[in-house]
Formats: sequence, structure tokens, C-alpha cells
Amino acid sequence: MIEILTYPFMQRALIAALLTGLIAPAIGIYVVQRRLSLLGDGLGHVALAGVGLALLTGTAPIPVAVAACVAGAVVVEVLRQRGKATGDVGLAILFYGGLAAGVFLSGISGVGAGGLAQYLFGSLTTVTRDDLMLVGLLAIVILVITLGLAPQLYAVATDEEFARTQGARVRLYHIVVVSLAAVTVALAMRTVGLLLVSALMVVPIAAARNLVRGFTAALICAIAIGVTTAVGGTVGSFYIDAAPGAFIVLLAIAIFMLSWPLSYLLRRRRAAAVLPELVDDEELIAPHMITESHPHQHAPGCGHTAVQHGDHTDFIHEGHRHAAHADHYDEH
Amino acid sequence: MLLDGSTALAADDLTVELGGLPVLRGVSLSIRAGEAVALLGGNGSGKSTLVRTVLGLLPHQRGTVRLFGQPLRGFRQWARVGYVPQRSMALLGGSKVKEVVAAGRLAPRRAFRPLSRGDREAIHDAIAQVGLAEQLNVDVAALSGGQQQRVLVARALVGNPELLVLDEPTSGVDLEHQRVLADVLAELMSAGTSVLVVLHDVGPLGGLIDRAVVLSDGRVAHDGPLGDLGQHRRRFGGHEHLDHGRSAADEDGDDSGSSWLGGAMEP
Repeated sequence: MIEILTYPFMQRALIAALLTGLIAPAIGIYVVQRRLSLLGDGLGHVALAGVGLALLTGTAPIPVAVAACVAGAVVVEVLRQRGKATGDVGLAILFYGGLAAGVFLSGISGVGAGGLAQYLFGSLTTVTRDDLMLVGLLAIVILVITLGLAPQLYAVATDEEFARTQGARVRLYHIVVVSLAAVTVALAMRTVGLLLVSALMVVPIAAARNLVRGFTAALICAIAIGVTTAVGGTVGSFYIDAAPGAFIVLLAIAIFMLSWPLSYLLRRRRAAAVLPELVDDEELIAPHMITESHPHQHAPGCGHTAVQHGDHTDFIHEGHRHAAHADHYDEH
Repeated sequence: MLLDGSTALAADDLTVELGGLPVLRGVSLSIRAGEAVALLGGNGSGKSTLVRTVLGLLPHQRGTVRLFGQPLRGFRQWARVGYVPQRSMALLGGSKVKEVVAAGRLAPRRAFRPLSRGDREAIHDAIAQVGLAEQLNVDVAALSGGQQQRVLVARALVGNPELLVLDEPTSGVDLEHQRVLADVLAELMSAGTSVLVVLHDVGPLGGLIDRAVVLSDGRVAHDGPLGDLGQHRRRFGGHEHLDHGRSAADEDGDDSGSSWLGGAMEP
């Protein structure tokens, strides 16, 4: 393990992966909240147009890709806001236009479509010192904005209309989110790759939501998963000589799949702490099942354990729950 | 119409078209400081459209809106306004109660500043005020419909608004929750908060209402005391304009005459 740190190219690749793992979930949580999970995919295709342009002009690919990606994202967001394109049509235009332009421009430049593979799936050996400087700088910008404006971005992503009645500049914040997502996608092309970066913006969020409760906790947990999988996948790809993007994304999906049984166990543990005998599955019982004749009057201190259930109190009675309703008790 | 600082809301001759169809046709509405106004009317009468228009969420083609004497366009003092929408994406889950409520503290906060101690206290107080202190850290999706509605009320209260606008806060909510809401509103009104509440049925909120404005087909059909509605109904030919059928409270077997029309018709 230590030996890979002696290679300068791996040092750079690992730092780039760490930064990507940090920023992708930090912006991804707002993208997912707005139900635009596939936005990153569309932006990846636009970044490819930037790569094609860089190959044609002989310039560094990341800065051109960042510029192309942000421009594409802002155009689509403005079209969406003005009602000129719906979310999915806008994304489709991004997908096809970007991919076609990328392949077309790389063809003209003489590199050909095959030369784009390292940008599509990531490559350990391609992170240059200049790339790293740019990735580091923009990652700081993204983290400062996403964490510093977290209350505003959260409010806009969860309830746009309410945020407007709070005086929030909703349109501006939407443009900020898609622009930062675009920058993240372009920066991630060296590690995860343009085709797979979207997964790092979405899958850690989905896994975190299974594991923890609340938005802030999910954000922190998703960043932890993002960093773990990005660094872990980069190390793993060194040993098996595979594209790091694939390894990183498969690791993230493995954690997501593990989060299902884990969340089930966590929920059972929480339920067991309150309700030792009962299965926490309310759908098993009809919503209005009346108990048989029940002369006992439940009340606080009646000897039966009281459990808060939504807006009322249930009393545990011989392994099931009784809820007072009019002149009888319901089974809950 | 009053347009001075003592008028919380003044909408004059509002015309709103949605998809080319007129939804509001020359509607005027004013709410004085400390006044509680109920906005009533059948489905499609334009109640929610009016509320959303005066908050700047929908554009209007004609007329003017002033909040606290200032034109809606360019209005910046949003901390003075609290809004409880009918539904919210924020209730779909993934957020704790205190996180949803904290979003209501957005207007008075500055960007890049963490929650202050005052913010935190206001959030806890608003949640306690609606009786959800025990559910502070619960995911909003795990709450009952009535509790979720109260989360939205807490979110609107947390900025200490001078005008509270509620869009059908009692629909689909049982009588107990309506009573809790009535208590909360009574407390706010005693502190001088103006209230505009869209209602399908007056229910337990009836006692708090100073004035009822009834919309019918995008026009104001009545603007006056709640008790005058019976007379109004006779004048306008009753059911075709105003009746909505049975109220939620009626369906619960409540016989307190809580349908806004039924209540108004009580001798």
C-alpha cells in the first residue's frame, strides 16, 4: 500500500480522487434533491465537447472542459427557467449535442474518438501538476459555496416557492447549483471520468439517505462515502490495472447495496429500543381494525407501555398496540 | 382602500390569467394590521391563485399588490411575511423537522453565516409552539398529515412574521389538529399578527376570523363579517356559488356546524 505513494503520478491521482470524492456528493445532494440525478451525465457529455475543442486547439483539456460545461449548464438552466425546455428535453439536448461535438472535434484534431477513452473513464497516469492545482483551487471554491450557502441551497432545492417567499434569489441559486455541478463534472474527468462522474454525485447520496436521518447528516455521510470510494477505487485500480472510474463507481454501488440491509438493521434497532416485541411494519395491520371487547381503560400510568405513534399515543397490550378511538380501541 | 403602513396587504383590481384562461377577474383585497381574514370559495374559485399572486409566486396581468405599503415588485422585507403552502416538497422526506423549520429563518439570515444562537432558539420555539417539540429530530416523512401541516406552520412562524398567509391549512387534517392550529393562530393574533387564511371549511378557526372574503368564479362575491354569509348566500342563489358539499368536520361526525357556509347559516 505504501509503495503506491512513492509514485508521483499516484500521489497526484490520489489527491485528485480525494478532492473529487469530497466535492461530487457536496454538490450532488442538491442536484438529487431537485430530482435532476441525470444532470451530471448530460454535463459529462458537454465536457466532452470541451475536450474535443482542447484537442483541436492544442490547449489543456480541463480548463476548456470546465468552460464548455458551465456554459452548457447555464444555457439549459436558463431555457428551463424560461419554460423553453423541460428538464428532460434540456438534458437530452446536452447529451447528444455534447457527445456529437466532442467526437466530431476530436476527429478533426486527428486524435479520433478512441483518444477520448481516458477522459470518459478516468486514467491514473494523466493527472498533471497543473491539473492538480486547478482541481484543488476549484474544489475549494465549490466546498466554500456549497457549505457556506447550504441553508439557501437547501431551501431552494426542497421548496422553491417557499424559498421565493423568503426573498431567496431562486433563479440565481439554481444557476449556481448547475454551474458547480458542471465544474465538478469537468474536474472529475481525470479520476472517475466523464461518463461515470454522475454516479459519484448520486450514489453516495442514495446510500447515505438509507443510513442516516436528516439532510445535514446525509450530506456528511455522503461525503465520507464519496471520499472512501474515490480513494479506494483509485488504489484498487492501480493493483488490477483497470480504469479508476469503473472501480470507484462499482465500490460506491456496493456500498449503496450494503446500505439496504444496514438500514433495515438500524431501523429494527431503533424500533426495538422503543418497542421490544413488535415488528415496525404498520402496513401489516389494517388502518382501522377495532379490538375485541376491551374493558381496560388505557391511560398514562395504567401499567401498559405508552408509545408515541404519529399524533397520538399507543399502549402496548399483549404484544400489540392499542390506540384510543371514540368508544373503542384500534389495533395499530 | 388603505395603502398606508397600517395595511399589511392591499391587492387592487387583480387580474390573473393562467394558460390563457382568466382565473382572477378584478379582485381587490386588503388586510389591515392585526386583522384575520378568511378567503373562502369553491374549488377553482381562485383562492390559491390569489394567495400565490399576492406573494409574487404568480404573475398578474393587471392590478397592483402592496405589502406593508410597498409595491410587490421590489419588495425586500420578506421576513415580515410567513407562508404556509398547501403542499410542500420539503415533506417528501430526507429532512428532520428542525431542518425544514430552519428554512423559514432564511429571510433574516445572511449568506455564509452559520445559524446564530438566536436562530436556533427561534427554531426550537416555533416547533414547540406547534406542539412538536418531541419530534425535533424526526424525519418529516414519518409524521402524520396533521403533524406535517404543523411543521409548515412552524416554518412560517420561525421568522416572526407580521403577516401570515396560510393556504388551506385545515384540509385533510383532523379536528384535533385544527384546534391546535386555532390555538396557535389565536396566540399570534393576540401579538398583533395579521392573518390571511384560505379555508374550505371554517371549522375551529371560525371564532378567530374578523372578516370573510368569498371568491366565486374569480371575483369577490362577498367581503364582510363571517356572520353575514347566510344573507349573502340567499342573495346569490346559494349552492351554485358557494356550496362545497359536506365539510371535513361533518364527515368526522362533528355537529358543531363547522362548514363555513353551514356555520354561517346557523341561526
